[in-house]
Amino acid sequence: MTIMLLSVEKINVRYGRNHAVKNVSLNLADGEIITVLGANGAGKSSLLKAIQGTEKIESGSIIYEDKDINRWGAPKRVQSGLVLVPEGRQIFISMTVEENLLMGAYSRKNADITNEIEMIFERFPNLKERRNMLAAVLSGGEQQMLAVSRALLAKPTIMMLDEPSLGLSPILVKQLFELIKDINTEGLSILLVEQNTHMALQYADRGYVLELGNIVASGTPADLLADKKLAKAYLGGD
Amino acid sequence: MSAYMTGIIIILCLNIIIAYSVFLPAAAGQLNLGAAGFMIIGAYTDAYLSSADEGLGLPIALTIPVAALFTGLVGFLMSFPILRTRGVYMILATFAFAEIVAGIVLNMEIVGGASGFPVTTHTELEVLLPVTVVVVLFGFYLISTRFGLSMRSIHDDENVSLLFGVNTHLVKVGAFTIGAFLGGLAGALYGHQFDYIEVQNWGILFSIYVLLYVLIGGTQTPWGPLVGAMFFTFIPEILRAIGDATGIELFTELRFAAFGVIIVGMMVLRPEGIMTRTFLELLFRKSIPKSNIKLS
Repeated sequence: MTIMLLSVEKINVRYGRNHAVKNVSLNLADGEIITVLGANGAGKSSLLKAIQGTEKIESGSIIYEDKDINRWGAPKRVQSGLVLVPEGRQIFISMTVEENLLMGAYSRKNADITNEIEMIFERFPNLKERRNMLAAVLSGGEQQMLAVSRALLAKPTIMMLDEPSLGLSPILVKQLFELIKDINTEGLSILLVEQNTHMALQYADRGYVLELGNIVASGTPADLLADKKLAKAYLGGD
Repeated sequence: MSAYMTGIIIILCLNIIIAYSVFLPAAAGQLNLGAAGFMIIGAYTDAYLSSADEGLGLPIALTIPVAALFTGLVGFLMSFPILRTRGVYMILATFAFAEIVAGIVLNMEIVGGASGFPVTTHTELEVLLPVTVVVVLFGFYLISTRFGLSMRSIHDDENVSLLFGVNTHLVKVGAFTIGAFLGGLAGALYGHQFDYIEVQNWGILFSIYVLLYVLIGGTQTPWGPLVGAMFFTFIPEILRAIGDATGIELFTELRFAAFGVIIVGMMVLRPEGIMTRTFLELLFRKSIPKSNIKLS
């Protein structure tokens, strides 16, 4: 068995009476892309927040790079390379594009990020053109690129993305997934939460299906798609 | 300089300092309707420490900083309950704080209660003007720092700021405390200009005006409170001057009504305040490229 970069073991998240994540276990090997699929309210976002440290877990453990990080706060997790691209992009709209990127590197206090920012701008000439403009004026696609770029500046080991394709046109979704593939090739491990199961399974190495807080299936995209009942219920197959 | 002009500049300076005291927390997303409370604490602390007759008679080089620091300390302690609230509830909490401060001071016989308290050390602009300049520079500097960036990120989205490693609680407490410090500073300076302080000077109307300076000026840039305070200080005077020159009643007796109309108009036309970042770009750069390109 390969050594896991991230192991989530039987974690539970509860909001009052709502048991959002039930005994969920998953793991992510170095260099992998895994995806967590499921409908609205399946507990996908809660799972990511628990891993990122902004949501408390009731029981279970999260092991990252062989360390139990249950007691770490969100800032420490970011610093050590667990970075989340939140749902709905959530860029800082009254800051400029460049300031958004600076915020990405916030946890790297004394790092010289001039080169990294230039590399981002090389990758996304549109962002470069608007570097001194308010992020509010960006289009939806550009905002998503900025959200991913901002996360890249935090120097992630694992990048977690919460429904990044939400609200994007099919062409932009395709570009986004290509971008995710690219940054994965550059060495980042990816944990992708999606409702766009078709695209997610095309790019992921493995997938998990979450239903009402439980993991009901997991495996390679081929395995998941081969399960007729599963495909029909969750994966948009027929 | 005429006494009238000096008077206007004194009021302008005090308005600018108190505007920054509300602006800095506002830049971090906190709406503060408690300016009066901090002003009272600063003014009375300084007056009691410096007054020769009824106070301790200490030199103002000591009492003004001590009064501001003491107000900052009160602000620091108050920030813990107040920062549990948000938005409109925070407005109510800070308002309640100011009312409590006023109530306590009104009933403190040692500082004169309802009859006010005399301030024996008088200063002219030689103290107020340099302090105001320093406060403005400090406001600009703070916003440009890493701390300032984190304040603005909290203003936009507290949860995402946390995601990128901002210690949001610390930054919020810091912004509130610095605001209180500046409010206390404005209060302390006020006494030495007008030689007499009373709680009734700083009621709810005062706090509303200061919050308006900031909101009308704009919370996005440190130009906002400066422009907002100037706007609020000069417009009524300009209206008065126009009225005196033309004899039109609208500008003299009704100038505050006309002023109200201007404020409502500003809120409709520029809800983000006068000094938005886009406006600054227009001022300092020739043009802004249009956003019509989709993706590469």
